[in-house]
Amino acid sequence: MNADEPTPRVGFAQLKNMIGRRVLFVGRVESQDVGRAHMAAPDGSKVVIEGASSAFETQFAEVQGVVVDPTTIREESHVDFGENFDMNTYNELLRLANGPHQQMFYQ
Amino acid sequence: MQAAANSTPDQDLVIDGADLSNVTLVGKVVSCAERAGNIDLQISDGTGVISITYFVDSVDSDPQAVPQKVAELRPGTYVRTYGHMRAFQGSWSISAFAVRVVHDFNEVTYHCLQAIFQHMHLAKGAGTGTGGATQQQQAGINSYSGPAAGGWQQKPQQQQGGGYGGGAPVAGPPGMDPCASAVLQVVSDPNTGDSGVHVNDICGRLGPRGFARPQVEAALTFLQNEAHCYTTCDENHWRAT
Repeated sequence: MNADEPTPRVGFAQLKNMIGRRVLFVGRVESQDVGRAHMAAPDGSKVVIEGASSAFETQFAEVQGVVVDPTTIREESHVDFGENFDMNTYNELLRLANGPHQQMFYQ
Repeated sequence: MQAAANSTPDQDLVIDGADLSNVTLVGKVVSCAERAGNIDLQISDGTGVISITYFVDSVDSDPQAVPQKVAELRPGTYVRTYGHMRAFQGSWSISAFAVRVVHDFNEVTYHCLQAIFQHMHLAKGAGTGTGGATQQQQAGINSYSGPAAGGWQQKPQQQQGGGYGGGAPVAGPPGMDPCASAVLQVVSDPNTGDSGVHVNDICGRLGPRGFARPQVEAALTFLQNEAHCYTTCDENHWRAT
């Protein structure tokens, strides 16, 4: 077990504090070109994904990547999250996992 | 019991005062390879990476079972694993008896929420306000009502001090003595299996709260007489009714 390098699960609100860090970001794909995609964060904010390794095949996806600036993530990999994903519940989870229970998930 | 994200690298494997043996983990496959008829996996859940040895039980009846599983568990696939914690070469790993692919990704959300719930359940108890932690639990409620605008905890003032929203399965009837109420809370843990909780585990969990074994045993007898709990496979395993 190695918990030295956690990858925080973040929403739009946390991106500005995570510049240069590797994060997990779940969002809804709104449009995509070659190597670049626009996603809506769970709270509805817009985020740009750079360097997409392959096309997003479903509406929802989880991107693992490094935060470039408060609205941009440089992708390392992504997992398609299907067509049925509850963003409201996930947004509530993000509030808990980055708020009162942050110490369970990352430092 | 369900132990979640293993975010605390406690080497004694006690999380929130509870011994950790069987765990379930949801994470993303980092690597997957066959080794000596078993499958070696590495799973990442965002809090860390852990090694898993998966013993495929159908390997005798179906020689293709292992190669099929390896093909299914490609890196990047989300899986839920069930297994028990094992100390190996100075680090913790999991011996898994089931690994299955996650198809509905709401399960990822659910697992993280359940991890938080389980942490709260173990840390704060099931809402009877036993012991001297009432003030701290009250603080827990207050810290919650801020972010919980989504309505999943509508009326914190009606809680009995559990601090983590509805769904606490039991609260001791008023007037029950603190030890009996604490024991009832332990045997009512929603993640207890069919065989219930061993009396040693109950004592282990309540010892730190100042309840000695004779007290626990007297409380169990009382709860049994009051039809709050019963013994299962032997006289040492208890479940709530």
